[in-house]
Amino acid sequence: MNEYVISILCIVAINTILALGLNVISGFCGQISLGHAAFYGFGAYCAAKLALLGWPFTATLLAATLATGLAGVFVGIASLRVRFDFLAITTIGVGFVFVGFVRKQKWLGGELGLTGIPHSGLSATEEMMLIVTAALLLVAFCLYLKRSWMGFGFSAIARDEDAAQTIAINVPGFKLAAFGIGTAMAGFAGAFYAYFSKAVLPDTFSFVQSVAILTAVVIGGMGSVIGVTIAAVILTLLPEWFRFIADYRLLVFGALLILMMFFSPGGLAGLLEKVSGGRKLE
Amino acid sequence: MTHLVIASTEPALVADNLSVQFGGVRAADKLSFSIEAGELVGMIGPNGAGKTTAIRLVTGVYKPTAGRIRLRGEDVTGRSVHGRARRGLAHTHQIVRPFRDMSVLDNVVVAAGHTHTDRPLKALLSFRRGAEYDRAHALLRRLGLEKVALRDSATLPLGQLKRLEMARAMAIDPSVILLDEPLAGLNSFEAAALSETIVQINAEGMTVILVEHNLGEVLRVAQRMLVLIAGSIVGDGLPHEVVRSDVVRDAYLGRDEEATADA
Repeated sequence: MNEYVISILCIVAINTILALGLNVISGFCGQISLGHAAFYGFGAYCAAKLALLGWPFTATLLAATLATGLAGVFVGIASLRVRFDFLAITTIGVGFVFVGFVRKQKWLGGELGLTGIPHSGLSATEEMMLIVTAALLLVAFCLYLKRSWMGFGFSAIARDEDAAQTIAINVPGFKLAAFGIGTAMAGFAGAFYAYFSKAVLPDTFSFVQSVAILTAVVIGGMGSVIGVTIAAVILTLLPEWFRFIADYRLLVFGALLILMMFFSPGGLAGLLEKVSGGRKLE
Repeated sequence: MTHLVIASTEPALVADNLSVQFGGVRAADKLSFSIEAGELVGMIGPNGAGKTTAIRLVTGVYKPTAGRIRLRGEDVTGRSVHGRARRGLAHTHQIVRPFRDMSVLDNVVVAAGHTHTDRPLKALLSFRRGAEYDRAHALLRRLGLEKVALRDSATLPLGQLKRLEMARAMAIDPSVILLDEPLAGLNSFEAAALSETIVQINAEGMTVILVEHNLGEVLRVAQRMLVLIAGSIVGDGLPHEVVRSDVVRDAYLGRDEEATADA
């Protein structure tokens, strides 16, 4: 396997994990977040800083994942106060605050970010195997989550929060859990990214990145684990296959979003459901 | 006023001097009532009397500025909506709120899983649904919905959605069920059938509070009636006696002079 293929597989796996994480928050639990990239960045910066301080690879991955999940729960508290479009706007704000903060911090490298992140100790192929395995395990975890009572509760909350309260679902607890799980996944992806790219820059985690992640979730079909996985893989590979898509990435993603909303609001999952005559995609 | 009291048991639900104010309006003013276990109590009141506020105070949507709410003796004033539901208070919505794009059956199953969904971690670690499906099927049969069990809930007509609200509320194994205008919007045939079901559920031991506009049906089925006016209870007793009392007639049905003035 050449280096190019290995690095593409890493990026595919990272983007898949990001999309799956947002799918837990927005797809499963119905809490629209437009600031997912901030958590990706939070995990990346945590890992970069710890790695530069000399922490070992595994401990850094774990600490960054946990710290990001906690930050996610903290931001999730906002979801207990505001809903729907107000929550979307709040999470956009969180994204801007994160990037704005990081840019101005000398100890985080300011505009130039953190560079010279130590080697993970794994070969490129091993790193790729690790992140691809992690992505596959997280696909399996999301499929399980969807079938668990937590997933069932999420789908009730996504449809009608107030009605979900009346049937004794612990709605605040569930929402915080969705934020915690989804953002911890982003934190893990970010931590891995820090080791993979050896540098973290504020611009990587901007609003555009948040929208790109949400695009994968919407195009895959909110709540569909398989649909979102397929969409994340395709949307990562498309710009690699077709150079013009890379040049007009935002334009193409935007057009895809509009087309999807028009012809299949249920995303790829909804499309496949129609084609297969009503069989729901997990 | 006397009614059956089972000695040495706490009342199913007590509202004790509840007050709440929105701007200058006192929507509940020292609202007090007590519901005994096993009763079927009707609550009536003209528009703007504070019925909706009373329901929201009891279910936990609004927090009272003063007063306490007790469920089977336990003070639940500080509890959330789901906390009260977990302690046995179920309620249905006047405007039906099914979980759309979910089958009728799943609407009830998710409620029947209330012992799993009270804590996130417990919910994450459990996934078996057999017992909950059995319970949901039994409730759907009980409410005459078994034929539509697999339909998308959003496609049901209103009469069946009202029944689905009840099935879902009963699936949390409540000790008290508060029905918010379950008969509103139904034709007289559907209303009579549903109030018959309510009577049967009560006969099986469920404490029922029936908040209704449909005075005829309340008079027919309730064992006791509360009359709410301007945020407080002005009448409490046997339905037929309560509606004959002057204070209720004046305030609820309108004073004679007002009636003549209108005419």
